[in-house]
Amino acid sequence: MKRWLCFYVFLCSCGGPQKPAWDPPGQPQGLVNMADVPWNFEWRQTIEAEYPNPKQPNAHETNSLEVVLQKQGNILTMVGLTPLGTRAFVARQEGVNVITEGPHNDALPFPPALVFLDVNRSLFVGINTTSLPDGWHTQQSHGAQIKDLWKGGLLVQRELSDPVQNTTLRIHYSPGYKGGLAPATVTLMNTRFRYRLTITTLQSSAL
Amino acid sequence: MTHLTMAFLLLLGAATPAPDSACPKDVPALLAAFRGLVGFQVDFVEEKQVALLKKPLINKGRVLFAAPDQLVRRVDSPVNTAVWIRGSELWMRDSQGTKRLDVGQWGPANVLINSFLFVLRGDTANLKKHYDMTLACGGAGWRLTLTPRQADLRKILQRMEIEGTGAEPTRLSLLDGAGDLSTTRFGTANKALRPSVAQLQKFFAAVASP
Repeated sequence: MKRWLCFYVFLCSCGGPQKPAWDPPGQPQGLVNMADVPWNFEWRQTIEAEYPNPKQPNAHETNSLEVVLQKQGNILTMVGLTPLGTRAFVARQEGVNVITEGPHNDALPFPPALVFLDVNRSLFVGINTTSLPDGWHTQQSHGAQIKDLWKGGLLVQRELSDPVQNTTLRIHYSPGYKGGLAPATVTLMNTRFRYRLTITTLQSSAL
Repeated sequence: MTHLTMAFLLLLGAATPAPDSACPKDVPALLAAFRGLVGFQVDFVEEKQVALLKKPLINKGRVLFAAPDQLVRRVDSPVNTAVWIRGSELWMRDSQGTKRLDVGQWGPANVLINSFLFVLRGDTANLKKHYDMTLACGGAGWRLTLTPRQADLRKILQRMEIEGTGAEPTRLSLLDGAGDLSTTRFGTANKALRPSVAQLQKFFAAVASP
């Protein structure tokens, strides 16, 4: 890619910190069919990522980007924006298939399949619009063991274990989450790849 | 494009010269007026329509310009970020910190970033080098349309339009290579300013950072 295009696409990614050297799944298992999710939304969010430096495992890199997550019908669309507000990348999940389009997708700081797996596990897997009583609840869904803490009608904490990929996610929702209602902040830690994401919702609207 | 939109654009862009004396007689006359500009501060509201998204993204903020080649664009809502174009450097600031990029080597992206500045400082040479320009007048103002001449610039920018009165832009719209349309509407500019580097720095640094 020409350097100028690289610059236009994602002003921070070229010549900056290297992407994490993890081995992402190809077409990930464990995604929720978007056609089965009854709520539609458009959320504008910032993602702050902290992950191990590939060259110095004990050191961490940080990066941030702005994204818009739109769910409509059976399509989940993620649009990344550059600091100048131009489109950095687009990735989509149609049904259970992750699709990347266009020349810009190497600008995504994480593999799209991994991104959508995290999004699904945070927002859709084993979650609907019905609140559960306060306390811990366990379930098995989409190949994962899930332990959820509900409080005041909202999901506030989740531990999700994927025995096949040997991955555990620890997710905190502030002030809480239930299907279709944007949480102000989501903090997600992936124990296998040792990254931490802080996702802050800037604007949200139902579609 | 809907018929209504086309009609609106035609209305705005009537090709016949307006009798209004506020309309510059041609592009050189418009750019000459901008060369008298020393600086300004102005609020803006940007509406960005990403082709794939149902609802537009709205940004609100403020621009501080110091002739000839320094401009800080600070977004205050919904997220606090700032971009400072200073000559061949681009500084960015957000909650993660400040980054400096040497944009002089970034080809058409650098042209895109600097194009609004070319207009604000009346830089005829650079504008002619990179754009075909047309000027239209209507109502109390003018509209300058910039269409990229080179194919590599056209990949990232289809068209830029600036509307204004006198040497004061009131609206900036960019249709980018992906088909996303950004429309920025400016408030009334404070043109009594001639910001110093220290003032630009303070304005830029107002974005909270670690």
